[in-house]
Amino acid sequence: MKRHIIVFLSCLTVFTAGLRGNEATAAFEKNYESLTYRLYNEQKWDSLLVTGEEAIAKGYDYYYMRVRTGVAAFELFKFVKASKHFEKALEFNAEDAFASELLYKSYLYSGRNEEARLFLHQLPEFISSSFTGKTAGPVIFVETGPVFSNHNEQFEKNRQQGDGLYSEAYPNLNAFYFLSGIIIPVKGRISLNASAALPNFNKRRIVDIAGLDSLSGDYKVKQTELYFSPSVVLGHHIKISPVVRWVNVSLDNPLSSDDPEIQQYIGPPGSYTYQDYAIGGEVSFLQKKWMASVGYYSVKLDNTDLNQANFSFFYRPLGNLNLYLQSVMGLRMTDSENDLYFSQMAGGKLAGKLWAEATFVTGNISGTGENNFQVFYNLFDETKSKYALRFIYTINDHLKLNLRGQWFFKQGTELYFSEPDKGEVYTYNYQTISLTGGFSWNF
Amino acid sequence: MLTGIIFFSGIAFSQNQTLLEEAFKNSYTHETNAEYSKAIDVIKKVYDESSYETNLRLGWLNYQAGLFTESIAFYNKAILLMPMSIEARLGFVMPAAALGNWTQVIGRYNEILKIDPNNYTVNYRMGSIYYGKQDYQTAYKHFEKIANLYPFDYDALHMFAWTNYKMGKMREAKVLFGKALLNKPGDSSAKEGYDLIK
Repeated sequence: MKRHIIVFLSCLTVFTAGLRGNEATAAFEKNYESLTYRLYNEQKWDSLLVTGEEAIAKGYDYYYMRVRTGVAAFELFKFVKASKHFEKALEFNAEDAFASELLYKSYLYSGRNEEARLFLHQLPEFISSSFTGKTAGPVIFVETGPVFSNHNEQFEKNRQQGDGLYSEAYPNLNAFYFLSGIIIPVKGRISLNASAALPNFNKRRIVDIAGLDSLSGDYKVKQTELYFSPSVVLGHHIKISPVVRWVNVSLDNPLSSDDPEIQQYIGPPGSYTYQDYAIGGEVSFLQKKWMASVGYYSVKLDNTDLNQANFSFFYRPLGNLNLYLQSVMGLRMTDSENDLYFSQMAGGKLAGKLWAEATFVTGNISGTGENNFQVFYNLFDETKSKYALRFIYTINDHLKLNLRGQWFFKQGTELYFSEPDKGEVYTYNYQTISLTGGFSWNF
Repeated sequence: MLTGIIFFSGIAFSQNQTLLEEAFKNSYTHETNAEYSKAIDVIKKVYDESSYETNLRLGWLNYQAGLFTESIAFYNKAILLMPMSIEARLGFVMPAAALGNWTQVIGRYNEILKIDPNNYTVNYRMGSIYYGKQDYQTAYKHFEKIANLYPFDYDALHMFAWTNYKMGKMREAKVLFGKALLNKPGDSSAKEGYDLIK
């Protein structure tokens, strides 16, 4: 039965196939059809791309020419260019599974996830399921690993000396980090990014009261973080992504004393909680090779209220994910001061299925968020700069592994009273290194 | 004076008609010998952009020569000159299909069905296209029409039978396969379908 259909659908074209190569095709200007067909079969992608585009420019613009030229661009990792040809191919032959699949992949491989999702949504089910049914579902991700800090050592080295009355500090100790989440594609134009994180921070509280006592105790800061960010794409170029990040912070006072006077200094024993949150969002303008976003957020960090405004520019100069750059300029605003910070990320394909990203941040990012608050630096200590390196290894269409190293240069604080009513906050530098790894699974 | 103009116009018309006839005759000869370039050349010598016949002929010859984009252009001109022309549209779909431009093919078929909803060829082809796309509902509409118009036509019965089978209408499919086998006894595809239904 299938043969009958194939014979019928071919009958309109087979007839002409026999003509190729005879005197008739010699009249075909520069033999674009046979030339591009030969180059396609021989997989000479460079020549095919040049010849195909030349043919199209001269009016030989039809489905097969667009597909061959698109495949050439695709094989040369020129995914933006490939997508243009496949888009046109689908104008000539809508609902073509071959061109649809390559267009979808061109969108994905050039980092245009929103366009990929929209395109997929517009396709008939029998086409989309043939190539994306396996990867169009939600994505879950897990990331975990240790965090090392020399905060305590640096505090001991740099703490105020002399006949002070009172000293208090909260050095960070080594810790372990855990994050998991899910990204849910809800509908064509809407997606939902929701995640939960359970980071633990080990800290030490040190209180010295001259003539009375020296106290020190370790405790854990347990955080439960929930992240919720739906995204909606308007038209083809605008994406709006409101976001809420809520953090429940729970900690114990590790110090206690039988002396009521000391107890007054160190506060009541037991545990207490407070909530941090960030609410805001970003608006992005999407283009084939770049995306520009502006974001604004209102943040509550313990007892501090601050606002963050940022502008980011994501650029894929080659039209693919073999090289991408992201620059972020942000403004951190509190009642007392405004701090500018700057971040630069460069990422790309290292080899085969291995990608790497390197990031540099300068400026105080304490209390701010990164990537529409997918990361929230809700720590009190001021961050001076950050260097990060991330490796991503794609096992298959479903599974990606990632390994991330982050090196923070921070500023610790010590509350020090040299005399009664002469308390000052003294600072010193320390470093924190986190090594986290994880995976993401696309259902 | 007027008589003179009419007289000379008549001579000119007669000469043009002779030239056209000669050109078409020569092009048929070249076409028979598979000399498509020559066939095109002789028509181009008498080409008149406003002539439906020369555009249609050049559409066909260019298609035969493998010059599909040129063929499409000539067929498009022919359609503009004769907007109700079904033959020009049926001509157009050949180079368009050869170039893989199936959206254009379907568009032209739909135009034909607006002009002639019962067109056998177009309904059969549209049915086959949608059958190939596994859109059996749409295929059913087209095959049903030609199976009713031509109740003992093998192609219509055979494809309508397979469409019914794919839609799970086994009883109807069995009857249709049976009729197709009456038209073409022993036909392998119809027999395959008939035997699939117990």
